[in-house]
Amino acid sequence: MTSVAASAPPLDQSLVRRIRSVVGAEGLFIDPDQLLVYESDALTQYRHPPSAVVLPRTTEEVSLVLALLHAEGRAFVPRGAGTGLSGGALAVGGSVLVGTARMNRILELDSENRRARVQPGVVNSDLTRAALLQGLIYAPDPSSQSACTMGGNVAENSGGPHCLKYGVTNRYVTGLTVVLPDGEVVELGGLEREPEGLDLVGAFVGSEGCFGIAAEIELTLIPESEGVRTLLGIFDSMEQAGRAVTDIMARGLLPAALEIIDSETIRAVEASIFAAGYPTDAGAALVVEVDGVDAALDAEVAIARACCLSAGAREVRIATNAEERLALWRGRKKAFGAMGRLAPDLLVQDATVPRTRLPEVLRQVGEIGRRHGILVANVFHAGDGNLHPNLLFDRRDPDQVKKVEAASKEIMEVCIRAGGTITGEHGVGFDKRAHMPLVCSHEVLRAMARLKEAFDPLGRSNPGKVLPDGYGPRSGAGARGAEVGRGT
Amino acid sequence: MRTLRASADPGAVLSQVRDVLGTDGASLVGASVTARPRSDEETSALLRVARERRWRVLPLGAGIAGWMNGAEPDGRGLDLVLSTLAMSELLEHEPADLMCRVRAGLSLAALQDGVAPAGQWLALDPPGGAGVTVGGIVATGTAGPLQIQYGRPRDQILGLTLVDGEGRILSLGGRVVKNVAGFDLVRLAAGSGGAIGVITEVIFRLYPKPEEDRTLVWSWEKLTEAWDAGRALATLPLPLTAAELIGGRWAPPLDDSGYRVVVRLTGSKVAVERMFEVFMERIGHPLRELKGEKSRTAARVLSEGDGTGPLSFRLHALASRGRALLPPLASLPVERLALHLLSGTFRGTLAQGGGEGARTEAVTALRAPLESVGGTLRLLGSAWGSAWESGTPIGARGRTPEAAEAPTAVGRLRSRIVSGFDPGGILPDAWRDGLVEGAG
Ligand SMILES: Cc1cc2nc3c(=O)[nH]c(=O)nc-3n(C[C@H](O)[C@H](O)[C@H](O)COP(=O)(O)OP(=O)(O)OC[C@H]3O[C@@H](n4cnc5c(N)ncnc54)[C@H](O)[C@@H]3O)c2cc1C
Repeated sequence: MTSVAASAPPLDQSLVRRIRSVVGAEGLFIDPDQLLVYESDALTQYRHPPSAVVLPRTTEEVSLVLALLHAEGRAFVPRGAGTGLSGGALAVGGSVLVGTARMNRILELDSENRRARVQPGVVNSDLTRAALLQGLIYAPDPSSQSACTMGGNVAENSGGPHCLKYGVTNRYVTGLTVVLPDGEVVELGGLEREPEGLDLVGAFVGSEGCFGIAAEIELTLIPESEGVRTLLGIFDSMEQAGRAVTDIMARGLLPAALEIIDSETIRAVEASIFAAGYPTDAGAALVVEVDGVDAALDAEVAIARACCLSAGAREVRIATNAEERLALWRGRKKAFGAMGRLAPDLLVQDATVPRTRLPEVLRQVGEIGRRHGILVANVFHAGDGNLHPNLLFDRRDPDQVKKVEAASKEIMEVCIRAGGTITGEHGVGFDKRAHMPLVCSHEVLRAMARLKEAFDPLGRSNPGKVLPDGYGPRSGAGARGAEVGRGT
Repeated sequence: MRTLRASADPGAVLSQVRDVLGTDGASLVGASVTARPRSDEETSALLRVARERRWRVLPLGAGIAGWMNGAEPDGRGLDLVLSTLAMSELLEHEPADLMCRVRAGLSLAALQDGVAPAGQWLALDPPGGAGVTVGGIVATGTAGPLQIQYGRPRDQILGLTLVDGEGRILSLGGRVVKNVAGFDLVRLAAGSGGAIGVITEVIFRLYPKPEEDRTLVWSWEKLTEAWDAGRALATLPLPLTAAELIGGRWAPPLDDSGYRVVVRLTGSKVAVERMFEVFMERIGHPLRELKGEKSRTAARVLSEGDGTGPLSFRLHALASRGRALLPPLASLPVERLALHLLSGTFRGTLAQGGGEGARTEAVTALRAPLESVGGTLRLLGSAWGSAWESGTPIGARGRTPEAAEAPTAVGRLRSRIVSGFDPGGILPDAWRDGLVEGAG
């Protein structure tokens, strides 16, 4: 898993000079010790140091830098905060890493039209914090929101616990300024224009850095809810928690969040400094949050509570103030952090299944873990059917690594058989690209390659990601030039 | 660069299509042939023949928005209408997963009837009313008043099947609400207007029907008064289902006089009641309340009467700047007017009989204020063909031949994408805008 692909040579002196003249001395790193910081993202078992790191400050600088790289035939990889969980920001083959750390300005907060225009390096929770001053929020809330960037969110089409009700990133991105891989700047969409024709904004969101760099992002904000209520159901088994989820949805409720934490995770959290007071002998815990018009929420809480109890909950706790709310959430929000205690490495799977198939799929995931002798802890977006089995291991042990790889693949296969897909929000990246044929036909992969080629004809933007080998610009299967007989 | 292709002989087209689909599968309608494939495979076979013969193909559902693609009512200017109407089954409805799978030729009304027994609905109300087909909704990507709560069609699609200009059958997306496995071809297809292929099947996300449905109507003499009050209401921090300003002639129960602010509230009984109280506290102005079935009828009237007739137009500007457009709008011979109070899209239908003169008058009156707010104007309806006017350059998003002649960076990007899916130039964007080189 720690394979290192052949690395590109270091930048030559004249290119270094020209890039520096654009981004300044603090905007370019070429010292190997500095580059090491960027060798992986949050999926730590893969490591590929970049050949250089460039940190532009403006759209114009991004454009100039990409044009320089283009002229030299160098590939690049965009990077936000590096919290990605699929190896998307890995500099495979020693690409030049173009980071957005210095592009962190909120350019406009327009409360009248409920929109914001931001640079891509703005951190998700900073945007919401700023918007809240005007009574608005940016709805998608990845659990990494205090670190991840809006550029990363756009590239991954990120979700979060509250996306059950509010939808994921692509619902909120209304316009983009994109720097194409040759340095050309294009304006896509924008609330000032009527949506019309091909949805290029929609096509760019979720492109995982493979279509160029999002240099400015226009987003829709929504009013903060008048009220919110949170409750926690404690169950003896995962099956019961799954049943409660299905019942709640069947009653016509659309909670803001429905999150499940399994027994392994509960024990990890309770043994850590994040202890949230969940009973350690519980089989599963379910966090339910409802929001909206305040006067209506007590009735919704009553329904959710009844669903939990009839599904077999041994206890339902209802938060009565903000502090209690945070406490109920703590077990969910700190789950990843707490798992760090259990093993040095962790691989999060991200498959999604139709909600009604959750109980049986979870049972099978458990069996797969046991069969391979791998500890699996689940904490996930139950309302969306978006699983997050965390496979815990030690990457220094090649045997464990092999088992984790085998178990991961089996988990994805189980989810696909249940009508699901291999990734709900973390993206394909480097990690899952070999598994794409599990969910996409050859023709669909070729179609994706053609879309990629329209944005990035030479395959310079984040090479080695998303599409399996053999698809993509310059490779036979994705090439379009020959069939059409025209250049672009 | 707009290249005109000579029309194929309709008689020859008809017999070649019948070779693929059988005698029942095609007929001569007006000056062109209409083909009605029954499956993805037949659609694919048909498009392969079209590609070989270089026909200009227009995918069509109920035909309500066919003019958007520059189709003439009598079928001139194209060789083949590919109708989805023979593919109209509701294939699957999984109430517990809030999902359904339908063929593209199914009407919105039939879909709603199919899922209603389970207390669910598809939260879309596109212009054109309940007769529009699923494929038409998805291809045009148009959204009605519900968009402020539920978003646009693209936000309700979990997956779809597209047969592209090469006849390749692409099954995209899936049946789960969250899916980021690969690049988002579903979004590319939604709203593509047939540019990259024919949509044959769609998997939608459904919602539970709200317990309570209530519409509130306030009337004012003057458009500006209604606008100011409407904007104040619409921007309250409440989850409104629709917020529109309408004027002119509308069917009952929206047949009040003057300019009306129409707000729809849905949800649980308590939630709706509470929102209602907030409104009562905020405005003293008299209001009319429509509940339950009446409220649903009002919603239907709003979406059906919405800018699809001949001589209709659509303006778009940031909502906060919309006020500048009101004086010219109030002075035009408008038969019906509807403004989304949050999205800034205004739709209007001019009085019949005005003809070309009314068009010139409308464009003249609106141009200067539109330019001052940076908005766009689109003239719709078969009487006008489908022309664009705008205050700001629309660039390659516009559909005028000029836009294709002087491509911007976005225009080039768009044309690279289109030619990847329609290299033969048989689908509307290619033959209408001359997007695909050598397609003439
Ligand atoms: C503890 C933890 C919890 C998480 N919880 C969630 C969750 O609840 N939901 C969820 O969806 N994800 C979650 N994630 C995953 C991750 O945080 C998201 O994918 C996030 O959007 C990545 O943002 P980033 O700025 O760190 O991007 P990076 O990791 O730096 O990059 C991610 C991808 O985006 C591309 N990219 C970055 N910026 C740009 C740009 N400006 N233009 C074009 N491409 C760009 C990169 O090339 C790369 O392919 C979690 C991660 C962690 C570590």
